[in-house]
Amino acid sequence: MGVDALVLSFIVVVIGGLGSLEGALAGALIVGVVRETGITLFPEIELAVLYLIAAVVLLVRPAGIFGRA
Amino acid sequence: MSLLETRAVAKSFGENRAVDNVDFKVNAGEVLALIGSNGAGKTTLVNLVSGLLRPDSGEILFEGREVTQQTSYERIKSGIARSFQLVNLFDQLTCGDNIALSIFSREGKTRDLAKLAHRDRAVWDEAHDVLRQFGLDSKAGIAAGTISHGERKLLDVAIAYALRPKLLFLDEPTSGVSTREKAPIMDIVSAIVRSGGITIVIIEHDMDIVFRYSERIVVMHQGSVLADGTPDEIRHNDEVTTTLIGEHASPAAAGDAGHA
Amino acid sequence: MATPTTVTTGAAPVGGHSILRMLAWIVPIAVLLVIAPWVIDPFQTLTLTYGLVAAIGALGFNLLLGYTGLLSFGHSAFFGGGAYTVAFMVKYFKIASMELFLAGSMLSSAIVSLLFGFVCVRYTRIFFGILTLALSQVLWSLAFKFFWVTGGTDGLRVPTPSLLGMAPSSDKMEFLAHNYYYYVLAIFAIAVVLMWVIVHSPFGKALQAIRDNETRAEFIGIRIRRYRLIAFIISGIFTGVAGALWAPLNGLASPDVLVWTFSGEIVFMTVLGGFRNFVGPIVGAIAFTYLKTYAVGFTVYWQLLLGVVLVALVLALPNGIMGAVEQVIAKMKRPGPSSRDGALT
Repeated sequence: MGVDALVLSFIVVVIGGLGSLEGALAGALIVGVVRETGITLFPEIELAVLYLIAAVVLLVRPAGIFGRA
Repeated sequence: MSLLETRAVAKSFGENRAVDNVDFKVNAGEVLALIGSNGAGKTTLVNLVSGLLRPDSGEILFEGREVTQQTSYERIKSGIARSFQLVNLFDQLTCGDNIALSIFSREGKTRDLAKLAHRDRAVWDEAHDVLRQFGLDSKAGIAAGTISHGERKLLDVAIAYALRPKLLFLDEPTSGVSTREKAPIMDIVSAIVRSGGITIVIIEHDMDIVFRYSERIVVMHQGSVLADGTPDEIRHNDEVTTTLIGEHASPAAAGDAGHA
Repeated sequence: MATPTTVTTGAAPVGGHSILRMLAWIVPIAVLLVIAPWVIDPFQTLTLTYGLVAAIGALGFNLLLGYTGLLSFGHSAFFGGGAYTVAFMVKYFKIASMELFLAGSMLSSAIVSLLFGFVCVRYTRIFFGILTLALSQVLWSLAFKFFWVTGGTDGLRVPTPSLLGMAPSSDKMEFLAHNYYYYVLAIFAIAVVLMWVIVHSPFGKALQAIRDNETRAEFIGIRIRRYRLIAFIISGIFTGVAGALWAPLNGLASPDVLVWTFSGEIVFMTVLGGFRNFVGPIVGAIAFTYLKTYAVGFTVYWQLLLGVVLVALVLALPNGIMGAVEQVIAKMKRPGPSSRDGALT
């Protein structure tokens, strides 16, 4: 459990943005929503989707949505 | 046809017009000094020409061909090289490695991953020659991060020189060096480049060095070219001397003027 | 600071390495490795085999970290990828030849590292690390979720393969502790020689230049992204081969070697051994394997024990095991302040 939470928090920060509190909030909401809708709609790849979103954010906007890095 | 030409080149950083519509020419074989107070746009101009930055507008031509949008890699391959004001060396590698890398790259040998680098006698012999010319031969096996500041400045120039470029930009080669070490550095640099027939552009604050070594001087001020002429012409140009307050054109007072 | 390229004395030929001096310590170690199965019990030999496999993986990983300056947190994608390639070849193609396993894993690792690398080498430092982590986690989650293909958390069984055409004997333990051990040892030797040549080649120097000063490397005409990508692919292939060798040893390909914490282990063993040193990753991988094996056998709180030991080692040896070894050797050669290597510790 602890280890999973660690990576999830990583994803939250990557998506939301380094160095930003609003980013952490936005990231957490996004991660939470994506995970739950994912589990309901396409359970096989819900985890992969999360990591893919993180990868895409890193490519398009490395600092994250609200990031200031 | 000049070796290098910029036409109406401009570059801004936010509201700061670092380089403002500059027409700048360098003729093959000459030694040109680029002077001006801090913030005049000298380094930005060199960054634009060497490919570190892209201009907002204008063109850059090298040997008559347009290179404005070329990457720095392509410009190196065309024959432009530069040293850096803030020394840029491969600190963990030996001084010999630092030079050898330029040679390997020049010869297109950096692609070889199946050969041992130290077996290439031709490259290492040339690297040792270059080090000897720069007085750094004893440091061949020493890590570049551990030598003195003056030696690092020399190595920085040597790395660019080892590329055997057609056009070499030296960005403040004596900055941060004690007055005692300055003249030897410039003597080495000047002797080497004259023997090689390389065209040189030096950015310098030390007027003593500027007037002793250059054949032509271009003065920049607030992003534009203020004056362009021989050392004598510049020396007697009143506009230049009044604009560059504190940087008197006479060599006597020039000793103190170079410390940025 | 110990550099991956040996800094010789000023008068010596630049970059020259005394083959004789290297052989002085390589030969005894090689002899020990060769006679090992005859003098230690099978369990120990197996542990050593696991260690050598990890060493191949760490060697590949360190091409990126120590020599190119890129810290990847996604190398489990290659190790696990290699292992699962073997498992798939068994399950879906009924293949049982180790040589084909190796070929298949090299191919799959090359493809995965090309794809991942193409995306990742545009970034450096923390973004590179996170990107590699995220991409490798995509792979892990796919293996985890598509359990009907990959066996999910149960994994896929990998039976002992034939080596150079020779089918495994009925005594599996004996086969693994002897024949398989020598096979792995041979591949390990080849891997070490190959990597040594690569890092001492002009290409290897160029990578180090990119590591030390990206701007200057570009300004002497080195294409940064291209060289990083090539290093990434070579690194991936080495680690993929390690994964392929691991699968028959473990008998099972499971998601444990695809998950990011395993990537963390790879990073750890490399740093433990000393990433600024060629043999550092090898030493670190073998040491880590032994530490983990004995901790697991020693107490149910093995993770705590392992953690404490590792923290202690990192605090005591900031430059890794090999960093400490080099300091000791330097002190023995020159008692008192050394002017040769200057200010670098």
